[in-house]
Amino acid sequence: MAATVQLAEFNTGGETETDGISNLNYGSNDSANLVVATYPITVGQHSFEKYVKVHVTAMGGSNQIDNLQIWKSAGAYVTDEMIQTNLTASGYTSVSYATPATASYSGNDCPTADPGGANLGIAGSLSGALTAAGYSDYWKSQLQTGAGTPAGNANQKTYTIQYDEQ
Amino acid sequence: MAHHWVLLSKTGHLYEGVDDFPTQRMKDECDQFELYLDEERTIIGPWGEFRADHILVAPPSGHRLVFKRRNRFKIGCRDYGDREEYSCNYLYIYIVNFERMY
Repeated sequence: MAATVQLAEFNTGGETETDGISNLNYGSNDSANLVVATYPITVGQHSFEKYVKVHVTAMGGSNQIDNLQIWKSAGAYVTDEMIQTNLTASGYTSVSYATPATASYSGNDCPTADPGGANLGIAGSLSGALTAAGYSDYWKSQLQTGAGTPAGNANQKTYTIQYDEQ
Repeated sequence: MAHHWVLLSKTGHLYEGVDDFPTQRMKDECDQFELYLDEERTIIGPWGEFRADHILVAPPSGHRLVFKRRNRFKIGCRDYGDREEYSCNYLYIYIVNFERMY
């Protein structure tokens, strides 16, 4: 059987965990699985930051899980829209949790293609690995809009999450 | 079942498993490795990327076996729209290769 892997989102000052989230919708509220129509982002403002971890809840038949890679694989940006993240395949440093906020987060542009190597660490390192159930480092991200961003729906985006089992 | 592997060690021991993975020691001592898949899937092998449901390899002298399953799943996100969407389609890619032992 395969390892059981899901995404866990953390919110509020209490670092409240929601395991097995069903979407990563960005909005004007610090909550998991939010409904964007209820919490729209005002044009020119930013979403609340997202803090997410890759959560291995069971190893299944795997001895090791590593090589975490995440990228935006679909969904074009509209004008003046972008996503900032801590994902990077070089010069990686893990981020610490802080109460999610809407202040501008200056990280790295969200990768839009397979990075070709790990871009999210485990235990602070891109070469880190899990040999038992556990978590990755934090994947931090924020959707940002600008003055030129049109009002209304933006495009649905899709993240691809990739990892190796052995 | 997604995969079934059979590994013959240099000392003549035969190991096999279903939907699990050989230990590092088994891979270090591998003389021959055979992988059966439930359906034709992408394999990244010693000769490049191809699609197959069966592969048999023998690591060259001084090399160990590499056997991994690369998993991909997707999750959707929206921002200031009026729908929420979710997708979680797993894709398996198998890596069967060799690496030099130092």
